[in-house]
Amino acid sequence: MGTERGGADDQGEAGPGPAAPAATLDAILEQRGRVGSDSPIVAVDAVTAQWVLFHLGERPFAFPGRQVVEILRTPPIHFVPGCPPALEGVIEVRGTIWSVLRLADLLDTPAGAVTRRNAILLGRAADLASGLRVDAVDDVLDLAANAILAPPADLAGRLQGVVIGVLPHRGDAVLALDMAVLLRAWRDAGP
Amino acid sequence: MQFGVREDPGRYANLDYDNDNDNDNDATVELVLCRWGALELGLPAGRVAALEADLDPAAPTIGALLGLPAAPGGMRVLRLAGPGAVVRIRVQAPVTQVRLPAAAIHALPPLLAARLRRPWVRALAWRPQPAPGALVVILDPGDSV
Repeated sequence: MGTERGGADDQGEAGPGPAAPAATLDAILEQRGRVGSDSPIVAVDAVTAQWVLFHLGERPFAFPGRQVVEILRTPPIHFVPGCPPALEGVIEVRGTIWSVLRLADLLDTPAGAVTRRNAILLGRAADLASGLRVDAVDDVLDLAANAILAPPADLAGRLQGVVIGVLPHRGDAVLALDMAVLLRAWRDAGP
Repeated sequence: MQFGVREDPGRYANLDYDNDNDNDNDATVELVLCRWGALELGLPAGRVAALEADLDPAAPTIGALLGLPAAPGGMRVLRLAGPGAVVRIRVQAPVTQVRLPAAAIHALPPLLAARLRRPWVRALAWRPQPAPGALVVILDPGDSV
């Protein structure tokens, strides 16, 4: 059994040509090895963003992590006379007074029962800040940008413009929200 | 304006907000505190001309001004005087005058200020003691008085 030795060994290189000799396995492997050593592997991290997942009633939602300053178990909420119905009151957090909005009211979606899992997200987006009451915080995830799907075209009412995408998560379609758009719309709705 | 009786002064004795074991020498605000139900309300002392007995049950209440339900309890009348007029308004006892450091005074959170539906609500004061802390809603009649 004779294995032809190709011209690559004799000629020192393999390349195109009118009568290029057949490369041998050894030559190919050798070339691959040189390619590997000359071209370092560059690790490219996929661009990811953090998301805070929560739910209101039976519906899952998420805010970008950069818009959530802190997650609190529900502290005492102090009533202030003259607040519109969606604004429950204020809380004190390490010397700062925050308003607390019922997020379910802002989104016109049913809220669940008051339980120990209720939480307040301290949110800050653009020039606006507020606490936002949610039924429970489910998870905090890092997701690649291409994991976020386009928002549905048939969103109802107050969700339009606020939902910026859909995050598939454990079989659920989690609606991703823009807190700046949400708070600005509520602020500008008038007294 | 000075009240004859400063009720329960111990609650307000500790003005050492910066924990340096002395009364703060920072800028301070004098407030007249009163109540309506569970709410603690405050008015700048300079806007309160006098504390009077509750002799006119038909006089407006602070609760009605703020859209709050009626609340039981003893009443007092605060006479508010300004460049515009004199207003007498009924509030719940106890009525006290306190001095709070500027650090205890907070502006209304912006979203609350933007959507507030009642007049006179001007600012908030936070008193960390006794724990867990207490909120005072600071009222200011502004130019209405």
